[in-house]
Amino acid sequence: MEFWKRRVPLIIVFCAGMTMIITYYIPQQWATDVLTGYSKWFQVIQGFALLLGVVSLTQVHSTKILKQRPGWAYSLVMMISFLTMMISGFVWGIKEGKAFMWIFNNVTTPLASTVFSMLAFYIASAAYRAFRARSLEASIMLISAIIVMIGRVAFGEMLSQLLPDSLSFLKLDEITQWLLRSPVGAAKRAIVIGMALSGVTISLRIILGLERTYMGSD
Amino acid sequence: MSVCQEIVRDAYTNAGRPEEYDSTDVFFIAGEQFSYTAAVDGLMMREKPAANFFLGTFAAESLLLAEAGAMTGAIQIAGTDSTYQIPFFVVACDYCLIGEELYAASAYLSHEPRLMGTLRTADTVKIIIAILLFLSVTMVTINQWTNIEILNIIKHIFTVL
Repeated sequence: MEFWKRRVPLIIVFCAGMTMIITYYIPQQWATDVLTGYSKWFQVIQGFALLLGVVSLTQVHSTKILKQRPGWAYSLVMMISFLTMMISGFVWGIKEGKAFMWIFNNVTTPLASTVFSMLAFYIASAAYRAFRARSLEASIMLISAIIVMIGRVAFGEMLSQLLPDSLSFLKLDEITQWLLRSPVGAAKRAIVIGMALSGVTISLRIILGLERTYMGSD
Repeated sequence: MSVCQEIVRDAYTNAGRPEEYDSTDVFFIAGEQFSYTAAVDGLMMREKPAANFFLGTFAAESLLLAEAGAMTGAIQIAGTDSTYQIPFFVVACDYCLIGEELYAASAYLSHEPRLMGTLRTADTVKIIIAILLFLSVTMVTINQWTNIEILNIIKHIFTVL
């Protein structure tokens, strides 16, 4: 049992990981075919993982409704919506013009847009809390934020046009572009290099079986 | 999800409280971005957790989650590899793990030799990359003024690589 529970997953992870690494660097058709085959397998496994998630979702919310725990009304709304979409999709299909797509286009998409639109207000509240000149670093961030915010809109361009050509380096859109290209770009690249290296070490630890937390405890 | 449930169960066991683990605490919410965000925001508002940990890959929902959590007064710790979302987390969360700090956190907390070793290796490679970058920039800059042949060859090697 130890072999099937501990060794077999490690062997599968090692073989799959090494195959992906090796075939990525081989510019041959058979290597590309192997990678394509793996992608298809991943999609199948992803589908089954989603099924597990749906089962978990149904179990959690139906228990909440049956025991009438606090907030059970939200679970009831969720279950009704879930069953409606599922039944309409299975019975009438998911092509354009069917009930499933009508609900998706007229209910789900506007709801997602509504949630997305709240981002504007949250940005304003986060900026109000964060952009305070409490220290030197905070003051630099405040000034940079003001320059970038004004420089990225038509108002900044309008202000820049008032400057003579000899002072073109003071134009807000030029300063904005320089800020985003140089200091921000440099910091972003440094972060990306660090993350890429750490990602490689984590991946190698998983492939080589040094990281086994995904299998649970012994 | 099963992996997450296993990890949480092991955490409860390691903390000496296996009886307090409830498998329904770890559950799937939604596969869509804003459906998941709306659900988590609602959970945070109703259940008012003491602490929120936002660790992983995030997109536009980062600020929605962090601000909703901030409104409840919870202490918030975030860590992401999404460079575009780091500023939002820095602004809205109490502590933010930037870049490779997310991956180094486990080594920092556990001090396990294996994890510290990989951290040390990553840092060493970063130093090597920094030295190579500095040398490359210096050579390219000198080459702009002097046009020395050997520097042209080295530049061509790096361009091909």
